[in-house]
Amino acid sequence: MVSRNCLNRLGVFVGILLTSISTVSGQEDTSFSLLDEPAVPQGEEVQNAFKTTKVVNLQSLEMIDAGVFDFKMSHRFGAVNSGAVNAFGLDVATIRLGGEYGVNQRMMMGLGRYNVKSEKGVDAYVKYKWVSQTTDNKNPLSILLFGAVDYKNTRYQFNNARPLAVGEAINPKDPTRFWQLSAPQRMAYVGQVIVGRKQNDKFSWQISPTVVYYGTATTLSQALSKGWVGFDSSTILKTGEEGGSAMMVNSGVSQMQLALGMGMRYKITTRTSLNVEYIPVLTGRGDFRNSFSVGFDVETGGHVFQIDFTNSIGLNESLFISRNTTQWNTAGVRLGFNLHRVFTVVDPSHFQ
Amino acid sequence: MGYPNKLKRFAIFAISFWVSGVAFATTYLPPAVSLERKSLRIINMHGTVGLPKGQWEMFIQHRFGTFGDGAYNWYGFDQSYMRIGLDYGLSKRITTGLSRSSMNKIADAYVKWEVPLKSKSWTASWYSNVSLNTNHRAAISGEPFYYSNRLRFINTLNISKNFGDRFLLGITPSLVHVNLANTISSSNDIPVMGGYSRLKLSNRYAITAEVQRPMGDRFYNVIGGFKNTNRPASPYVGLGFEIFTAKHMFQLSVSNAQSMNETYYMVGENGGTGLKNFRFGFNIVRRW
Repeated sequence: MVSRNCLNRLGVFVGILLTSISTVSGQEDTSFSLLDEPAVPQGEEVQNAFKTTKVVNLQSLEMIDAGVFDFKMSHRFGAVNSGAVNAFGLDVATIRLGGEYGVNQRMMMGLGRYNVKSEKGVDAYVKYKWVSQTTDNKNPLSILLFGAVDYKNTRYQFNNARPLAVGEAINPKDPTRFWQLSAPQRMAYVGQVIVGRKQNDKFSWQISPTVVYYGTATTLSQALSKGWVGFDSSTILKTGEEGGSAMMVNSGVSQMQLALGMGMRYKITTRTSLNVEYIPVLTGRGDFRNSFSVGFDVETGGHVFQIDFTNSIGLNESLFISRNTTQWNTAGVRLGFNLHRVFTVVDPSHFQ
Repeated sequence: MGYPNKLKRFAIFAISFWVSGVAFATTYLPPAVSLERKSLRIINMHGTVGLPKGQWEMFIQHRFGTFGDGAYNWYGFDQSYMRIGLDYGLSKRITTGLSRSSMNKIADAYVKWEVPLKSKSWTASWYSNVSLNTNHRAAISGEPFYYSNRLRFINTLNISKNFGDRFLLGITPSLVHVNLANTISSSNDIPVMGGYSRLKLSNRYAITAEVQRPMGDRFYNVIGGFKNTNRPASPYVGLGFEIFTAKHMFQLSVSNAQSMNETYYMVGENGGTGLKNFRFGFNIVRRW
């Protein structure tokens, strides 16, 4: 059932993409000759395909302006079906604090720190604008390259760990209390190509073929045999709501995954837009779920609020693409928001 | 039973903090309006003044973990409790409000009545709050379960005085009623004494402080006579810094209470007054 739904959604998306690409080629000017100077001035780069550098979770076609620092704070709450007693999910919140900086017109860097349930880690990424869509349609598409790396410093405590003696300090290197992972095992890498187009003033789309590589591929049975906290109940695994480290383990997941992110933006008014994204994992998904998110961008002065509904709790690429435990079908959807605040660090004239 | 040494040290610190603050503040021009009218709350406590008739106030409060939680938990910032609420000025003298806190999953409602006083510097109000623990019944008490086990009440007489236009001092004698006491020998009624202060530094900034502690170790109950109030070893202490912008009031604070409800932090076991027991918190207030 699930896979058929996915295929249906995939089909709709591919349909939209094909239509828009054929429109693109229809608009192309073929009269250009190498010998002649172009009669019309060179096309300018298309700006503002998206309001921020994020669609909802995915990185968008947008870049941070050179010399500008964008402070980002993101929250995802608990699942709305966790009931009134948990304020429909609002009692649980995950957070990522981070920033993005525009190194120059073509490149930006980001750094963040997240606390997603019990997973704690830092992530860093680079986004490079390789080809920019131009107003004269010489470049009908924008193509960006994105690479991310993250390191989790989570302490994975065993269920059967001996209780601490009075006054004893926690030693994360103690192999009888914590699962010992080496530094390479704690890393995850993400590579992405972002291809997209601002179709008109209102509508932009993108697709993001992605590779995710995890330093470890621990399966559920291994986790159970190790007696991890939060892995002793099947209900926990189903909802993923209480699981301590449900991010890291599941059955049948492979270390290398291929995914195809798809996103679009539709501008409702000058200050608000509707964003939709879907990220099917094509290979090695295991029991995890594909991420599907709907969001609204609201621009207010120096801030952009992105309010969204999503089934992914993770806030960086390696988690929200490949480590989703809840799904929309069972109302495992959660409210979240991203807050963006822009600060100019270097005077823009410096880059001209 | 003398106060612990830490408390003495804290008192000295607090007094010197205020003295230096007053001295520092004299370099600013005296403001026209008391800052108390920009937010109903000091940090966790209510001030005496209510909302003007027909006005709304929305507030969001966060309290993080303690600084003693260590680097792995980002000195407490990895853990947070949130409270969101709405207040409304029913009439010139009556203000009412509702809120919900994720700490203990508590919803609460209150009524505040401003005492009509002729004085310009003295203000007083009566504050009455009922809090409802909305957690699963199994998390509250065993069988037999009564709905009233969820409820706690507080009544406060709030008296404050403005010294000039910059300095405000209030005292808040309160009576907390806990429907479900810990043990048979625990008192259901707990008298609490406390106070707060606000020092306005400029039109935009103010520093605040508040302290609360149950008055005695034992208190008279109608049923069962004198019972134990389970008075905590350390008082509740909060220090705050207020930033008032055009539309919002930001109240940053450090305090040793995690709960944001009077009926819990006033009578509950807060941490000591050492730095490792304090936690960061903030309130965002907006009025319409």
